[in-house]
Amino acid sequence: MIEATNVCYRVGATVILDDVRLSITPGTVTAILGPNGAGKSTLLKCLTGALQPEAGRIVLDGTPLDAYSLATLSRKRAVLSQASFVNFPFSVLEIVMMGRSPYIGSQATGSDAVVIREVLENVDAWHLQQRIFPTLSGGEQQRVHLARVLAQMWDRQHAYLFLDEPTTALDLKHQHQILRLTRRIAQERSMAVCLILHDLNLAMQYADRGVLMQDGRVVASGMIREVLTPRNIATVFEVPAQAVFGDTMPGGAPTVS
Amino acid sequence: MNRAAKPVVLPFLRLRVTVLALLGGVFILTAFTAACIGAVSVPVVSLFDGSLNTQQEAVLFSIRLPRVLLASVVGAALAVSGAALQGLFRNPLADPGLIGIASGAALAVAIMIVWAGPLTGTLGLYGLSVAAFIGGLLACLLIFRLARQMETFSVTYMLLAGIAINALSGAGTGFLTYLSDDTQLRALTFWTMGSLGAALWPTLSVAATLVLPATLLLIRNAQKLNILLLGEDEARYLGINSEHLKRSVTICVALAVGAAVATSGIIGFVGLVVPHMIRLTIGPDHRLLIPASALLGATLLLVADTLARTIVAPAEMPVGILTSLIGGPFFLWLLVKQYAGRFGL
Repeated sequence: MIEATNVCYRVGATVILDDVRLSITPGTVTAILGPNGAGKSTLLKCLTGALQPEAGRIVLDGTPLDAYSLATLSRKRAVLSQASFVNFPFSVLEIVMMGRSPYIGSQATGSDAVVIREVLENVDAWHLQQRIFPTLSGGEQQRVHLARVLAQMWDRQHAYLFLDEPTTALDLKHQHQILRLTRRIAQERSMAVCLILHDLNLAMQYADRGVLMQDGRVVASGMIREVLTPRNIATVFEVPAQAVFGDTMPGGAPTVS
Repeated sequence: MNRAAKPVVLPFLRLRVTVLALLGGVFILTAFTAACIGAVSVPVVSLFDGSLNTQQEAVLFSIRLPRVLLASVVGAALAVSGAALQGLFRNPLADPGLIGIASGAALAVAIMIVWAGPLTGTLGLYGLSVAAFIGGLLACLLIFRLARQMETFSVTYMLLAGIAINALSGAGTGFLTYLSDDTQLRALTFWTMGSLGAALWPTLSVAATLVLPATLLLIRNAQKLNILLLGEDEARYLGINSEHLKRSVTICVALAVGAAVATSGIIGFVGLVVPHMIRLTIGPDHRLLIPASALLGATLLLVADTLARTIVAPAEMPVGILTSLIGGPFFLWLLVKQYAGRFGL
């Protein structure tokens, strides 16, 4: 479990995060939501240890986050960043293999091979295995990066997975496929998945919990249906919204319109 | 379907052994050839049956052998530095010459020559090497400082920073040239053009004792450099202290380039051309790229130097002119290819 209390972060005089409190529980998918510039990515970076919050406390499984070594942390949590350019002609397999580097010395073993195959199949990119990464399309690159991040946590239990807008470059089919996958691994491997999403409908459909942010503050948090109320959406996104509960979506999930 | 039966692991080790053995073989052949060619020719057979005359023996052991070995060490140093810098900057156009590390080192050497007087012997060479190391390191740090201002370090920005540093160092070296007397002037000209003509055993031992450890350390960091190519945050998420890695790679590069510049001046483009040739043929994995670049860099500079001292014999051409002659067009070709979008600038 990750518990963040009173997290503050500032760049110069601009307050990016102001007194943020949240917790992330194994076995659930938590969506961080909010308009552009609300501080979502910064919060994610604080939770993963990439940024050091100016004030506040982040505790991971009972130990303060900054007390972990980078190596230990790399076997407890994996992070998919928003944009990650690779300028060099690595093959897809090589990229995904890098996700296994916290566990292997120089040479991968058979079990690493199994992991790599499974993650690539799960993100629907196994057929791309021999392709040169920079020649892939944006969506394909995003799926391969996701496979790399999954490979880092695939054989772990109670691990943490942070995904910063994992569906931006994906087509409709893959958006649902990937989010369904995160939900499944959260439940099967009691993993804590924390993702930033812009599509409220996707959040409503696949997240268990939601954290709604505005101007660096948490406006609402809790079960996703309690967070994404028409009222909250209207205040935070300044767009009138209405919850439509029906059987228009598979699984009867509510949609926001 | 039995998943374990279909291995996805690349046969990396076998590839590595094959490639390195091949490059090593070519290097050894080249070294023997280079040792035999020159103003005084030494037949290959007499190397083995002991039928060398005194003149041949003297030429071989006190002139040609140190030169052949120095060319190899300097070539390896430049190629390995280029490969490591390209990884460090996540940018396939980085080169110790282009981004100003070599000229920073040369400026430091020029300062030593003009203000500290002629330094000779092993100790003097180490002095020059240390000065070159510091000069190169300062140039590196300056580039990093500039890089930190930007979120990502674009090719354009890196090359512009390189132009600025090259111009500054060039101005410094030029001013020192203006101040220098005849002996100093000759020494300075030698450094700015790049030549392996000063190769003696002490030169070689100074270069080798700095370049070899730096290369080995870079090879040890190869897998980390691979992961750094994903980005600094990503490397951190995968358990790598990227600040620490950057520092240690920078120091290794500055050491290798410093030793190369102190013993042979500025020899351009080896660091750019060689890693590219390796990447084009066997891929970007640093675990193979760095040792393979060392061997190919050694071979290519050896060929270039042998040409430089034979095509206009008995005179000699500065080898830096030759490498720039080959490297310049290659660089232009790369630029065109890059802007065509191959690597996604």
